[in-house]
Amino acid sequence: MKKFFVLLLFLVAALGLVGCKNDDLIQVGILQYLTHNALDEAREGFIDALEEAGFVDGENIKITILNPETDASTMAKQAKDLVRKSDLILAIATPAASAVVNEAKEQGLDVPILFTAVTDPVDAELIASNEHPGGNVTGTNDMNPIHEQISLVKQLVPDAERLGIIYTASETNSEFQANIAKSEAEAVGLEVMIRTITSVNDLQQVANALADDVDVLYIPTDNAIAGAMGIVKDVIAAKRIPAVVGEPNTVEEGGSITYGVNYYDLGKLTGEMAVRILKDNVSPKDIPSIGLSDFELVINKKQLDEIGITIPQNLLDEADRIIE
Amino acid sequence: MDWLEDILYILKDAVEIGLIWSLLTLGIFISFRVLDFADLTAEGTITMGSAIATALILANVPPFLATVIALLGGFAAGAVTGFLHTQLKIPAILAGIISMTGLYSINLRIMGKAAIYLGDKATIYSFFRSMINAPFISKTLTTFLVVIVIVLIMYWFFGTEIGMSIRATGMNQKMARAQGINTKIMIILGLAISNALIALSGALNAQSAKSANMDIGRGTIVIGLASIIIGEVIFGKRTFKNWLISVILGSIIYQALVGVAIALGLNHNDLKLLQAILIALILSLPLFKKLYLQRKKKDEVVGGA
Repeated sequence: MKKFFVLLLFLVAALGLVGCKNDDLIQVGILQYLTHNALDEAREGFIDALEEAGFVDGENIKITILNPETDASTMAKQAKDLVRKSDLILAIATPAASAVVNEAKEQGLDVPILFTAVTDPVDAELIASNEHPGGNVTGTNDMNPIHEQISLVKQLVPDAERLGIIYTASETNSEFQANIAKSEAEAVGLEVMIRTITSVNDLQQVANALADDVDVLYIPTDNAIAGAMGIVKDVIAAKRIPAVVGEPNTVEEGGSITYGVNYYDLGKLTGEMAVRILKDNVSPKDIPSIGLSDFELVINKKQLDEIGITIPQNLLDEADRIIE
Repeated sequence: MDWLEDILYILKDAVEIGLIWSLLTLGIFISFRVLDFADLTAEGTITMGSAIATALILANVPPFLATVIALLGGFAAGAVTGFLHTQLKIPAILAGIISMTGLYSINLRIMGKAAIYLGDKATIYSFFRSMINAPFISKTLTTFLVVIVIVLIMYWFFGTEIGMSIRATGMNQKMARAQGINTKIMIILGLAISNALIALSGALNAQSAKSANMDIGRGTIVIGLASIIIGEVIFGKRTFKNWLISVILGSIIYQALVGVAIALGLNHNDLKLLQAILIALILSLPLFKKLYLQRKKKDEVVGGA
């Protein structure tokens, strides 16, 4: 028992070191589910948008960034902490958003909550509908523009007849996108072949076999494949067919082309919502939840040149980034 | 006095969250301590418990029943690991890894996707919440009642002949066999009970967080082990009853320590490393305690002379 009190004393002493909070500052709490390029970019975009509107960390607002790195018990504590202390909360990725929204509901606190990098906020029960979020929650979604992505197939290869789609079977988000891509592709008269992999260990065989049968490959956002784009790159080079991919980072790592979500822009869009809440006193329930309307066109010109595909001039003109 | 308020909140959160995770700790206590079996199934079964409970509640099964079914799911998963080890002669760690790997696909099947959300559905916590308008008290009370029931059952069960046989198997398998105990059955049963509790912890966790996702299992074994050791070092393991209570308190203190780390505003990029260091320190506590006691003894001898 004596040791228990020693421990408690240590706890008290440790907490004494915690700096005093300045109550004049607007407390902005950020809960980011894990460290990840896209999520980091969204966070930076959010902070930059606040800064452009005159809300600067350390001057008139205080930004607290917490990150549980997917650990459930840590996230529960961090969500509680932010809900208690913040005047506005940004939650990045669906599990973080769910934790914060649930905690605020539980505590009966109506702190405004914004989310970003959430694919389907209605399905995740964060908001009632995109147009009328209801409650104190709104934010931005990162749904891919699959229609636009599929439109790239015929623009690159006008006489394409068959499209091959590959994704990891256990990634439901990828499956969701693959199914939309299939119906989009069939709508423009493409024959679709879908192949799944169980892990990146099968990627090379499956992609090679599929590439023999189709004219163009489509790979949705898929965490496992995103980590092994080198393999896709080799298949593209060997079979001389292009791959339309789900997001800009994967073009840089070996895909051919995409229209994708720029997470920095998405974060910025969310930051603008925060500014409306903080500056203009708009309630989150009156701010519709949206996604980006302007997507980033990224073209891997070096690769497409190598496999002998001529990129239409209009795409080159429109491109936000060209990899030479 | 902001920091006083902070301490109060850290302690409250540690009790609320630590109690839920104490069921995981009790489960891991059964496999690692009672059975002396390094069971890695836990990372799969805690996810399984949260998946089953959440999926069933979404399908309008009453929360209490959903929680019980989650517990039974964990029981079955533990029995599979036990079967792999005792009947198919697969080494303990490998048997756990096989079950954990298989559970990944099963959990995805149960949920249908990588994460599901309960929204405003009633959970096991809703009952007291509707009577007591204080989230901390109502939630803690619910978990506390579950933990009390589990501990009473455990205390009774491990005093029965079967329970004693499981403990004997963990202490010395050869000796237990010589006494006529069917050690294979005891290992299967022990692992099943252990994983049942772990799944129960997952079920409560999911209902508390109102969501289930594939990530919840990550690192749970380490949390459980660290909690056990903290409890043992601080509160002792003199009797089985004392040991059980120590393990639960250990879980709460572990969560308080993590709470302090967060409150200190430690850089989130370094949090995992700090947790690892914290856990390594905690796991080496018994050694330090021994060294300290040895020195004290020496001092006493010198003092007495």
